[in-house]
Amino acid sequence: MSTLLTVIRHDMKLAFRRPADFVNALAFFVIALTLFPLGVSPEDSFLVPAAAGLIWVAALLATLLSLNQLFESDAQDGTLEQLLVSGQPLFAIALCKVAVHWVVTGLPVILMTPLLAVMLQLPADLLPVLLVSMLLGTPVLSLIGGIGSALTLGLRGAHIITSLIVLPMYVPVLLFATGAVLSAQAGAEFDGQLAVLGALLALALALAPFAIAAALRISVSQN
Amino acid sequence: MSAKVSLLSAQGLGCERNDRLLYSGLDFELKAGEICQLRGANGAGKTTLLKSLAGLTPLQAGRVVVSLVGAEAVPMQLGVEGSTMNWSQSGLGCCFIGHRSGVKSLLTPLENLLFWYRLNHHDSRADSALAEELRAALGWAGLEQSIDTQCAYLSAGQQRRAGLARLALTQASVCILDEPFTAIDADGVVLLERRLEALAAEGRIILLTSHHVPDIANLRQIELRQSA
Repeated sequence: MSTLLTVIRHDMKLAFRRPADFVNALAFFVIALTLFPLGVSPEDSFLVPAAAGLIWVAALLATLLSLNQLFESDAQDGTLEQLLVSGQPLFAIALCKVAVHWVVTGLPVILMTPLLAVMLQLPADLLPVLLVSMLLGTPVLSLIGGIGSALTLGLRGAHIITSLIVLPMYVPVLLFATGAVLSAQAGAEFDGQLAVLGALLALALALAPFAIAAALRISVSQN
Repeated sequence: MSAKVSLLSAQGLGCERNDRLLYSGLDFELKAGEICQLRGANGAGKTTLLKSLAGLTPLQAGRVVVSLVGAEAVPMQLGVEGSTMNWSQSGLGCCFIGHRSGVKSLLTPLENLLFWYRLNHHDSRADSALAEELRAALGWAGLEQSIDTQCAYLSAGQQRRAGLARLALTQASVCILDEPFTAIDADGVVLLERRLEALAAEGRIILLTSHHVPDIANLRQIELRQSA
């Protein structure tokens, strides 16, 4: 347990020493969304139905942008080897690392969402649904992304390959999350979609750490 | 880490990489207190062998067995063909310092050493209580002046020393060092040689690679020959 706290503190410290890494994802999120009213249309007739989908797509791409920081520096400077040799449970370490990644990239995006929702004319009563869908969905993005980024460690063009591996697995999250908001917008029940998102999160939490650990072991043994 | 290794025996180790046989049928035994230098040409498989002994890559052939002090009669199998070595079983540990020494350039030597210490030792003392010990270790490594400087601003040799400071603290009974003398100045080489001798005198097993012959008493050498 204390080891896991050590890993979390270590990774948080590193994230704050180089804030550019996570500010990058947040900046992308904000900039991409401000472009839509400018580039497509500032009219309510476009923005109101599109807002939730736009926010989700931007959040998804922002996550994708930040994935390669997850294990890359650890692999390059030999920290990953030290983590493996220490004999500590690698799946737990992987879970901590993904958790820190979500806190520094996913959470700021969620915190920024209410502001951007106002800019995109999202009806105020839909905001809670959108936020809940993001709270449930973005950790899944980080967990799945962790698998992709661990699998492609040390490869040339790792970024592109990670996207190719990870994007198909992001689609269900996107569908159910935007589906929940759209249902709410139409005045229908939306807790079914949120329940599925919750189930996806539970599934990812239970399985992804083991997949990441296995992928990391393979990557270390290949390099 | 209570258990101490009295004998490490590798039996029939082999490795193939990119359709090329690096070594095969490699047998050796290392006793507690021995320092052993692994020799071989570039590309002979030294690093590969060290990584598989440290448990980073699976053993491709053969097996590794250790006997513990006080329990020599029941040798323990740490790794067998197709699996990775498992040092953490029954409290054994392994101190591995590779080519990439695992020093984060964004952290100071002290922070780096503290992270490594926490990862490898169960110690309930607070960070502040540990600091003195860690500072002493870094002082030994010749980093008194730069304990609180981010490693990004240190030279390659100083970063290397920040990694090697672990040798002043490690409790592991087996130390595996890949080219520990790289980028280290002449004084540092002597310092490191004396430290390795001291660790061996405590009954540890030390396995290292190096292209220069370290000035160490009773140094054993194992030659990795290219197989036909």
